[in-house]
Amino acid sequence: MGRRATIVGAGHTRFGAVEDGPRALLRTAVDRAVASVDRGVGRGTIDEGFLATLGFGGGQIGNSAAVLADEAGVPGLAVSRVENACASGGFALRAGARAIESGARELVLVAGVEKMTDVASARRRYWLGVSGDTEWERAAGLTFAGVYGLLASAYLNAHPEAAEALVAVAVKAHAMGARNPNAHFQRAVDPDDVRRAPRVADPLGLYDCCPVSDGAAAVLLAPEETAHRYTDTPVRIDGLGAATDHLAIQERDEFPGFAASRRAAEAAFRHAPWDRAQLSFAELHDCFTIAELLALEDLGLAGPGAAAQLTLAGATERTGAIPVNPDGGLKAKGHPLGATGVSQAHEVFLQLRAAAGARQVPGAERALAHNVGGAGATATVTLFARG
Amino acid sequence: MTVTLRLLRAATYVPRTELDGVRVAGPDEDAFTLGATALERLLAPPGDRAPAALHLVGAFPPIAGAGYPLLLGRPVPVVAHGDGPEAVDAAFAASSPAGADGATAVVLVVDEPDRADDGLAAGPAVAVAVEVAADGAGGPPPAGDDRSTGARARRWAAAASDPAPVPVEDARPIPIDRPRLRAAAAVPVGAVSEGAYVPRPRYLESVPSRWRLVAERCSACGALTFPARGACRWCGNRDGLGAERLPADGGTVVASTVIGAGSQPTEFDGPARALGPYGVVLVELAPGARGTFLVTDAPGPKLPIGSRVGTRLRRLYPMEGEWRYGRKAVPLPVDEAAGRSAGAGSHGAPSHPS
Repeated sequence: MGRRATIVGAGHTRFGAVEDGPRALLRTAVDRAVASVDRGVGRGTIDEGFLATLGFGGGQIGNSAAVLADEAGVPGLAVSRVENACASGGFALRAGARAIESGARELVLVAGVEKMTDVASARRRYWLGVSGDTEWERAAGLTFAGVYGLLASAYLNAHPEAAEALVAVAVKAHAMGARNPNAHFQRAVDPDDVRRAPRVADPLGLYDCCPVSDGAAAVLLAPEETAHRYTDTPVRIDGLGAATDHLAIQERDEFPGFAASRRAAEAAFRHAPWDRAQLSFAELHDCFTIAELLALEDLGLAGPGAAAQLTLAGATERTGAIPVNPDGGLKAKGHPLGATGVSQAHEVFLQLRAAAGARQVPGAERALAHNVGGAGATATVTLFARG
Repeated sequence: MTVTLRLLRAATYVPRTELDGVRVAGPDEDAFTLGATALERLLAPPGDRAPAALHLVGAFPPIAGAGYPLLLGRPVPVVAHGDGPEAVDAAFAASSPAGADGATAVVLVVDEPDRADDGLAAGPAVAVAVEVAADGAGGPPPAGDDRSTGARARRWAAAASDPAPVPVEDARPIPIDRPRLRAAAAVPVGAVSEGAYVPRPRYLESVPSRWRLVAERCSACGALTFPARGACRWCGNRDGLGAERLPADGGTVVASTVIGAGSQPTEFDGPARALGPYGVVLVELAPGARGTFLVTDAPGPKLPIGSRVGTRLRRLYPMEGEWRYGRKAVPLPVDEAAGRSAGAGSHGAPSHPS
């Protein structure tokens, strides 16, 4: 095993409809990441940056990497902007970790941001879906909810019992969001609220969908051998998997599951010193409730067709056998697109350092984060362990 | 009038949408799509048969001149003859494909009556396509008392006799109310739409796949790639890809959703006001080839998984001052049954093993 990257600091803003613009959100997330470093860190020692953002709505759509250097307070820092739709954060984290692993960098800042709620509603609906296949699927009248509605219809056709599991995923997410002071939704919901909600894209209703949120998150990465300069409890990155699939679901042979998720998980576990049975919890990309069930199977956390049963048995609850999304997930914590993958790493950082408060997964030692772009066209799976 | 031509076969398309007992163009139909459906029916099964010329009668949108050759996949000359019953006779008189050995021409007549002030059709809509050959001594059908373009065209179609004409579609009507049809007529086309941007050249490039369901078969691994894009989606091979048309009437629904009101992409805001909550299906067109299609001409938006569908050319959404067209899914066996039960023989709708 060569050089490995660790997280030595992490910061997070409130997710939801907030007043701050994208610059202020980034500033807050980076400030908090810097402040979280136990033994302190000088900003001037940050030697590379990666910014994850989609540029939702079209504001500063190009060249936004420079904004991160400004708001991090590191003038002139080399920064690359990463845009892989909703998986931008996961891919930015991967790029940052690789920069450390390669020996090229000693302290890397990875940040993700999205400002979504200040966009006029027509423009918002225009942007929700530009990361799918715009030439074909969108021309058939599909947004992302529609694409996931198609996936859900096929899954429910094969597994009718999964309809109640979708309800359980939404109820669980809201229950966990209620314990997360950064979450967009911080209130529990009743199963009947979920069942009776208006349909957005049949069979998915309003409570099956993640909200439109603002927010930012940031992490600081350092090599394992110098991590002790910053903290006694770094979080080590043990596996980095990433993959793509055809942009359009109509071209995929694997359906409704995501081959990109499966491949990313296989790649991540191939070189990790531990396997799925040792996982303490997982951060899964639940942009829609069906996505959590698909991910459980794609990542090998549930057998084929067994995700609904696992969910209904309570295994994915915070105190279950394989807790999923103790922070509320995209569904309740919120989904500011570029921030999401970085936010997952932030949650892992808290959980593996036993600092997650009311939502702490008891005895958490190893975690997985799964970040998906579009409807499975890009995906990352990252493995973490207490350092 | 002296006409030396032989009326070979005819196809008539009557839209399923019904307003106050009258069959009218549906919310996503116009003269171009009405004509396209009749034309496809006439020339089915889809093969290499294409007319030497296409003679148009009716009030077509500007797309027709370039659009019908794209639909046929050939640079067929298109001649416009105006509108009205007299124009029908004039088109037939001019249609004799003289000179070309065994060549045929097609007269395509679309009667979509003028819209009244409220944007609603004043009479029934119909599209009639008749294939004619020069090697005959036929004449015009009896003059009759044809006061509409459609009635005159139907009389010509009835005179086609080799073989028996494909009869009028007898599919059950789908009633529509005035507000929805009015909303369809009111969709603004001129504005630059707030939609996912597909530049016009990219749209035109996709037309063979979008309109004619052209896929590519890989000579290396045998996989089908749809839509065609010059490379095998499975093995990446770019050499020896064979164009292959997927059946327009042989699909099976493998996934099905309904887009709720207000959840549509912005470019569908106008169409959605007319369509209401609309269905979208993922369809297996042939083993290994799937396509995503909006649902139209269905009693309800939700099509069950496993059901059979065909596809028809319809308006999708307006962008940059023009309608973009593509195929939409329609439930079968409605049309298929109409084509077959008519005793149309080999000229009915093709059947494809599922």
